[in-house]
Amino acid sequence: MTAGIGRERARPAGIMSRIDTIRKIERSLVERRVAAGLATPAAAPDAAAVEAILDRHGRASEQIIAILQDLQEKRRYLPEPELRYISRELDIPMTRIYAIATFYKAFRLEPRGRHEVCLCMGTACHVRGGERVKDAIERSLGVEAGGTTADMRFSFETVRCLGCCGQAPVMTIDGKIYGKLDHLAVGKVLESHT
Amino acid sequence: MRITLNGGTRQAREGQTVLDAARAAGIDIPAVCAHEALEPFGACRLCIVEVRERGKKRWRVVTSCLYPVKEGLEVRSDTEKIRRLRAFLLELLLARSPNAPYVKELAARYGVSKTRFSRLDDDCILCGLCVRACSEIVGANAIGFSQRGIGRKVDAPYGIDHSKCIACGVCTFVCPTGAVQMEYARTMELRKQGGEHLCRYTLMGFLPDAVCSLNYECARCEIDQKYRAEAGTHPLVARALALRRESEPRRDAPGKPAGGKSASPAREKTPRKRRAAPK
Ligand code: SF4
Ligand code: SF4
Ligand code: FES
Ligand code: FES
Repeated sequence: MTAGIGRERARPAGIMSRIDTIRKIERSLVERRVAAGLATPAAAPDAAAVEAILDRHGRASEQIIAILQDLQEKRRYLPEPELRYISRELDIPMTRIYAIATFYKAFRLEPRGRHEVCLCMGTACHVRGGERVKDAIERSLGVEAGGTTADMRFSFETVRCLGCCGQAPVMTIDGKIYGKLDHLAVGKVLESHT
Repeated sequence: MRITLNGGTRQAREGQTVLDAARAAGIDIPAVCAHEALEPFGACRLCIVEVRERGKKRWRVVTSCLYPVKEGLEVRSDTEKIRRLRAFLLELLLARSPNAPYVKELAARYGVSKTRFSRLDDDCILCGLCVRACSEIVGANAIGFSQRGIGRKVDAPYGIDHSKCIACGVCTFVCPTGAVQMEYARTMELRKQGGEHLCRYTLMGFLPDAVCSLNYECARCEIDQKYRAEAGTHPLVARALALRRESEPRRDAPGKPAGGKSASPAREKTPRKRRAAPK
């Protein structure tokens, strides 16, 4: 698998039984902590949705990246309860799923806003004043690039070249292109998205 | 099978890596991320050697811990080129962990005492020994890697999820630089919070479930010392080594069914392709 530890060898039987013990203990620890009011019970995953995704990929652990992509497409980020559900179902350690989810920039572990603002910081957009547009967006949203507004309305991201340099400086909102941006007018464009 | 190591002809076994063969011949190769109880990983790149396959003209630089021996393979471990590349790698390590005595000593052993790169102060050299030990030896999978590039680090899921750690201490035992340390006080605190008292030797499967007479203060436990003295190493590492030795001959036997799919002999020859069957 990718992004972390490589080969995995068949585990001897003695170790397998210990893994079961560890799992049992882990469960009981969590339960007891919840019972003692020291932890909040984990949010329930949307099992039906995850099951559908798992089935689509033949429940194969080597399909984990495709599975995570599908999950992210559905939820726009990778929610923890769902990841734990997948970890359990496919018998992939959470450490490895976390390694993959943090390795690829395309995966997100934080919930996203309703609108995805994606500003180009490529060369062409940079020379046409992309930096100023960036400042303007950050000011009007009150978050820095990579962040999400507290009201979950916008997530703001920068990328390198959206592939339409002729319209520089460019941004996309939910995939729709807004070209020839003006740092003074960009606030209006954002306003129109509720 | 015969191979040539630094000019001398040697006998080597099918399934061995070049590093195994070189070590058997007493040749010194720094191999930081290799461990006899773990699968090779190829993270540190310090074990590089030059090899030339039979009938080929070109010498290639490969990591000896991952490179399987082949009939007629020629290996050079101490050429000018290897020394130069290794020194470069050591400089990089020294830049990452300038304050780790282990790294300083290692670099000094190969004549590197300063680095031209800007320094970090991170004792972890990302060799992955702790991560692999926790997965392969312990089976707990409590720690893994996260992020990538310069941000890569050893981490628990979400940075804090310690629920799978059984506090066995193998990670701290195998870590060459001491970058991973146990916080026993904190571990015990967390366990008490859950109302659970657990002996790590019970969790490791060495002791039956029993009540600890020391109030679960592992630091005062003699069992620890006893097991370590007996095993001469961390008891779990000792057990992993024993298990490995047990399975070793079977690995060479033809048509071995255990450990997943290895019907084709070609798979057997390349340890790097060996994988557990997906469950
Ligand atoms: S103490 Fe043991 S279980 Fe915990 S992280 Fe280290 S190796 Fe894994
Ligand atoms: S913490 Fe130690 S064993 Fe783990 S990767 Fe870092 S240097 Fe290697
Ligand atoms: S540089 Fe912005 S679209 Fe190409
Ligand atoms: S020992 Fe071979 S790469 Fe580290």
